[in-house]
Amino acid sequence: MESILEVENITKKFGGLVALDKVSFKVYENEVLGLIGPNGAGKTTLFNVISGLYRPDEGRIIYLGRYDLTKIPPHEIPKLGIGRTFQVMRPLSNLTVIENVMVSSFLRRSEISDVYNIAKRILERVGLYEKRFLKASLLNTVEKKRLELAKALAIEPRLLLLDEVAAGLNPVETSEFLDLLKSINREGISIIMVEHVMRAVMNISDRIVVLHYGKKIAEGAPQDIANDRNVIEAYLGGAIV
Amino acid sequence: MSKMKFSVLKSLYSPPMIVFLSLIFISSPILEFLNQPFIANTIFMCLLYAIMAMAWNLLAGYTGYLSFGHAAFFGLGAYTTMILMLYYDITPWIGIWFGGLLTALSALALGFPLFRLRSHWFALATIAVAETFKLVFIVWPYVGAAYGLQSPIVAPEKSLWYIQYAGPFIYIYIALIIFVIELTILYLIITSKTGYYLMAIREDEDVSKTIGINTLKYKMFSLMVSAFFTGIAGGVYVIRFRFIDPFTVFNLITISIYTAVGGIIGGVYSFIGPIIGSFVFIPLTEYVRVFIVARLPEYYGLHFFSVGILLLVISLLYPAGITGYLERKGYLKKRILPVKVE
Repeated sequence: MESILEVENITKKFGGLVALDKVSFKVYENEVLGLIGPNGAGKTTLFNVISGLYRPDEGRIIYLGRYDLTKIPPHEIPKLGIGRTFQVMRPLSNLTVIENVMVSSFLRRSEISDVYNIAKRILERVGLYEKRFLKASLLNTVEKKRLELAKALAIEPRLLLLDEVAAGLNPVETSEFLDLLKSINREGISIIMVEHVMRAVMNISDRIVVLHYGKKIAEGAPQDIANDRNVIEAYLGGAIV
Repeated sequence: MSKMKFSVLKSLYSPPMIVFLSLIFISSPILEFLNQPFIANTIFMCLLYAIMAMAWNLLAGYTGYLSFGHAAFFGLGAYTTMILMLYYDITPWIGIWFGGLLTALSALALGFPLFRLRSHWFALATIAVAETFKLVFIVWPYVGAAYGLQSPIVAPEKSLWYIQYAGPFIYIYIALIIFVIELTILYLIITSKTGYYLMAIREDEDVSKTIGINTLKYKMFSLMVSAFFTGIAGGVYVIRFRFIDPFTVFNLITISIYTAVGGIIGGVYSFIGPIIGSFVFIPLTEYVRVFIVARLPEYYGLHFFSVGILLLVISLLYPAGITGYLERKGYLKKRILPVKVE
């Protein structure tokens, strides 16, 4: 299988704190990779490094075998086909729902009527079509999560970075959301998802990478991870033996 | 021009807008006939501040960078027009465009340090920039230093070359031409991809980067266009008043703050907000300045005081500005999309 993203030896320090410590892994085409770990493990930091908002102190991230994302300005990374959502939902509050999606869609085209029609289709897909003329700040949590996804989809990504999109959803909403993600994945979009909801991440991921205090402590298929001794220790506390 | 652009312009030049522009157009001969120079001058001032407030709003309202230093651009445009006319005998018909261009270029240079700052720090820095310009011009002999500069004086007040005519009446047309040009260009900008990108930057700069927006490039574009039209407004001021000094054209209160106030009380999230704001605010200040302060000279400064009171009242009663209030009450259609696309 072709790898779409290769994270190689990424280290990121904030003053004395080592947020990411020589983290390496690969993401393959059409794969859903789960990224888990206790709070403060460095998951969101890793997303910020991949999407260019942070520069790592060491290491490189090779995308599609030819782009080193650590050397590309953040605003050029979406153009290469990497979309992301934020853990703390960040809609463009004073714009309407459809305008939020349109802004993202302008990345690939500039005629306003085309952008509008594409935004409409994406909103239908994530189930926000009826709310399209509402100000984004008026959406509830579930809807804001869906809007985050819609915005990321509108840049027409090959790789999606999803930061806790299932957090705060009830079981029914979670399984609906997972179905949506699966259908997106079936179209050939690779996904890296940071998730705390174990049921969600175990259900959807092809492979899982576990971070703990900035280090990768495990990588493998969901059922192997669930039985991994290091992972259990990390989540339940206690020293890594 | 594409069909899309045409329909965009049709949405700008709606019947109320056509009526508004026509009223201003016919006001000049009517006021001249009725011999009402004060009202004509007030209309001119409203247009002048509307030109500035709209330009200011592209940066402050659409891009989210509040400026209290637009006097820097106003003054630069004014001095460029004046110097070209005085030293090089270039007609202000051409001079004001050079004024705008030079101002936009200086905005490009100023943008690099300024855009390292955000929110209130940016606003403070813009004040510093404008005050610095004022101090430099006060001691610079080439630009007349603190004495200022006077346009060439033409014997009978009839000169197409220098645009010098008696009374304020003809100048309504000069301001109106610039106003309509700006209105059209700004509307085309804010209804395009660029306009959406500016609004995205206003809402959240980091998110804007993750959807592929080169934020510095678009902020710079916004600042330059804003400076361009503010510089042209400075040129229009020179044409009308024929005398400038650093204290007047780089004035923090009467240029920078008045411009911002016009935008803020009109409503910064609205395209026509700054126009409405200027047409409400400027007549009030002009009236107080000319009729009340002139009769009570011992209370000089009363007009600034009354402006302060007005601002307090409006910000308490209509925190979203006049257009925000009208939208809430349903008198003004809430902007959903700039153009009809369905």
